[in-house]
Amino acid sequence: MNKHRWLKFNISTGRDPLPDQQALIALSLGFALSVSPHVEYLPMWLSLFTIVLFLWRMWIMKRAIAIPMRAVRLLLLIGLCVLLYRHYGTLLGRDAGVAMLIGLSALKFLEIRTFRDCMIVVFLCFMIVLTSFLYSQSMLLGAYMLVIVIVLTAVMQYLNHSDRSRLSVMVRRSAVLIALAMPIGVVLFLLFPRVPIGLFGLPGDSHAGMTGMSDVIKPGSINRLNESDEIAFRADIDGKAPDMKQRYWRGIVLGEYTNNSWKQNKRYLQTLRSPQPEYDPADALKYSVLLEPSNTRWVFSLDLPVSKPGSLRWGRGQTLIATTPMVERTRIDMVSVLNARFTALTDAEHKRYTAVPDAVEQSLGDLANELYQQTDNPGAYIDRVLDYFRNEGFTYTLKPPLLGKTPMRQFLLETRKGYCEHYASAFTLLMRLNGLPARVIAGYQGGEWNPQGEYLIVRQSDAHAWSEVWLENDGWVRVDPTAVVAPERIEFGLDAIRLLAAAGQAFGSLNAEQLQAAIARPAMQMLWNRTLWFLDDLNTSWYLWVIGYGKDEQQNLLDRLGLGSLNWTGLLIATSLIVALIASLQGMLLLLSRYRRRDPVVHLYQRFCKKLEHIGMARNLSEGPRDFARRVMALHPEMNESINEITELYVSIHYADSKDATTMLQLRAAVKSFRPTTS
Amino acid sequence: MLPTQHGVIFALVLLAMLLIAVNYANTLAYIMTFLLVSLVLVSMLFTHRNLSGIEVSTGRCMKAFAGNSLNYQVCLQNHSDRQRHDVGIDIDGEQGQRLNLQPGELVCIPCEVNTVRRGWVMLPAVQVNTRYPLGIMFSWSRAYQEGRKCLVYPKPGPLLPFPPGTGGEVSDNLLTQTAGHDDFAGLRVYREGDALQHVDWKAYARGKGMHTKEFAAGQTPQLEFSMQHLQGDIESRISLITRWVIEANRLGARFELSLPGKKIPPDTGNQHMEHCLRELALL
Repeated sequence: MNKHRWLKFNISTGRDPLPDQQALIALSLGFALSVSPHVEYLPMWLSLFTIVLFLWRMWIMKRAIAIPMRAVRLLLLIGLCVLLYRHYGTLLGRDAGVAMLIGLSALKFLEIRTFRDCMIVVFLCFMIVLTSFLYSQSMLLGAYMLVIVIVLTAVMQYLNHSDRSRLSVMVRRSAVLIALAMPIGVVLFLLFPRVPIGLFGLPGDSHAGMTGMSDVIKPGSINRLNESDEIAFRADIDGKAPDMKQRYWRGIVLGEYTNNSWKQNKRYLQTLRSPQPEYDPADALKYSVLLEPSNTRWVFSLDLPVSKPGSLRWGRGQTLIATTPMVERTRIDMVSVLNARFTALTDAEHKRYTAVPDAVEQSLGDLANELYQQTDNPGAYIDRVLDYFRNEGFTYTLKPPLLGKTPMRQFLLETRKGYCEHYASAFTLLMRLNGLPARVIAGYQGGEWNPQGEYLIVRQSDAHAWSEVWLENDGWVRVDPTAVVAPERIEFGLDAIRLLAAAGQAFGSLNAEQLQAAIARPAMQMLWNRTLWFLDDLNTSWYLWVIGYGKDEQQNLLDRLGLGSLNWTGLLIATSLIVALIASLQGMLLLLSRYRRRDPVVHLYQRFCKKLEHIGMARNLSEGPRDFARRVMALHPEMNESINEITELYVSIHYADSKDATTMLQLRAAVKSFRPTTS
Repeated sequence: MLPTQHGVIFALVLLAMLLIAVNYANTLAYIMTFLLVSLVLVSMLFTHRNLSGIEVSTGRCMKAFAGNSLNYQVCLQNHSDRQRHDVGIDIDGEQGQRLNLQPGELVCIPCEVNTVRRGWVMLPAVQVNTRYPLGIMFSWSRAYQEGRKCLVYPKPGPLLPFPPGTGGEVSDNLLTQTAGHDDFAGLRVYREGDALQHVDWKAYARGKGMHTKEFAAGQTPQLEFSMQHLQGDIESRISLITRWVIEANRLGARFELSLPGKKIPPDTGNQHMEHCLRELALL
């Protein structure tokens, strides 16, 4: 422990340590960890390029050969730019920018020559980690960020430390540093003034890859349904969630059929104060939805929403619409009534919702007439059309054939294969052809109940389309023709459809028990599901409470703290003051409590006394060092020499205050080699 | 405390990170940026702490004559109960190696300065500095040293014959004499500076401590070196006497020194010589 060393004053070792093999290995570890969240978005060749450059640099280190010439490095740079441009079509924007950053960092690694180059590579790694959040902000990535910041800090320490001890020691020290950094980090995160989005304007591709619902339905144009398991939104319902059959999430009202596709009216926002639906307030269902970013304005609410939060607007046909495209997770509180009646219909609306293009009139008029003639009233006509779907060999499939120029006629009379869009579209047209106001509603149907968090998870694969028909006495009535063809879709969701299709079962042919058996999941999968639910719940809380913290949440917090009236400069000053306060508290704890100044001379003498205690010679408190020495020497004359020396050295340093470092060394050596014996 | 060049680069990187976070309103980017900013703040505390409790002192000055280099020690002691990492020593602008100091550890580094003149020489300033833990902050402290000076003896001149002394002729045959060793006079407690060949080693081996054998005076020749009796400028006279003092001591002669306004009574031994050299150096 207490040793002394004699060293030469060595100028050469005073400089920053040169990068050695261990430093490079530590750096590549940090780099690999930083890039790993990106790998799924990066072109394959770039990952290979990075690995090759790293191996190259290692080889250079091992063989102690020169770093490639400037011209070679320049060529590599140009090659990188060309390949990136060919891959992305640009060198700007998020995707190309991130790929560029990674490529350049790899090049920087290749040309590491000095200590500074190493440090710059570490800084670039921090940057690379940060850019991965532009793709995902999941909790997992958040936790990973914490780990990687600790590792990169450890690499920084490792590079700076002249004494290359183990990286794991550095990791432990970094963890302490990061833990101590947390309080200030939290204060900065909560209080640093948030500016509205888009400081310099967002690059065009910053919201690329967001999946939102399209507001155009063109049956027969796509032969695949969106089967993505991505989450569209989550709904947290006060009280009991409605039955599966009741989970219709109203999104977009498609009232115009032109060019074989359903669209919304150009003026889809409600302009006039329109009549409210009728309902019993006791049936009101309160809930909140947490919408994933979709870059669209459509908000999905349980059929039928009856009140509107301030941040939204009413769309035509009792839908809710956001004022700007939602590029962040958005939480909205809503009220719906499942059995509300909505009877109002103006003349203009009547005209709009019965309009049918001539081409459709010509191709489908016969069928509509034929079906209508077999009934006497609109209600019966609806049943007749549904019977037609049920009995005339229609099947539900996720991969229907493509349809030609008169798609609906082809579907109704020839192919008879389709999914919700086909059925809703055909049904609505058949209604309109006989003068019944009808429209297609696009939204979601179903949702998985998460018992862990007690909320519903609605995925992109739950996307659905159904019809609404206006009847004289009942107002708008929801009719879902898909439910006739494939009731499993409505009651059990798309998963059940997949399972049944895989088992070769026809839809609608099984009784309830057989159906349950067919779609029952094995126990292992239930366990797995439970884990997924738990994680999803955790993730939801993460999004709600952490990622969702933005300008509004900050304002709420400031109001609660009584700082609501501060402008942003005031807030910056307040933040700095709090940070300074925490930092000085930490500084005091670090510097004062752990720094007990011990007089090394006294400490050495105490060690000497301790050694004597072992042979039964304890020093009395009142006894001076010389008296004590005399007493010991009288009993143990064989130790006279060393006892005398130590005592005299101690007295000369401690009492004569001649703090000569050399004398100190003598005392230290003497105490160390002092071995009392009992003989 | 100041940021190092790497610290400045890191600050720029942090600024870029903040801009990305603001521009994309990205919460995780905010979190990471602020975590790193506070990491910098906390690391400053550690940088500062890394120098606290370190005492810098000048160890023993070695014997040196003007014109030669002076060897001395710079000692660092860690008085705290924690390890100190990578403490750099900067002596007169030259950066030495970095030291890792265990709690309580004392490290001495031999240093040297070139000397020109006799007398006190001020030792170059010592600065301890550190960039621990992350290399982004630089903290330094100008170490205050008590007695930051060493004595440099005068440069010895050419060896001229000794001036005539009393009590016997000093000549070259002194070299062959075993200077007074046969006239043992008694023992006294060993004092630092006594010639080791005069220590009573037999007594020491019996555990009676270090004692120095003293020899009867009068038998050894006695010399007197006097500034006043010499010609020439003051420095060359000092040099000449310095040489005589060294030679006389080497031969074990007894000598006295008379300087302007000061007289050092006759004596022998290293301590006496050092005393004389000291007076000459400070004249």
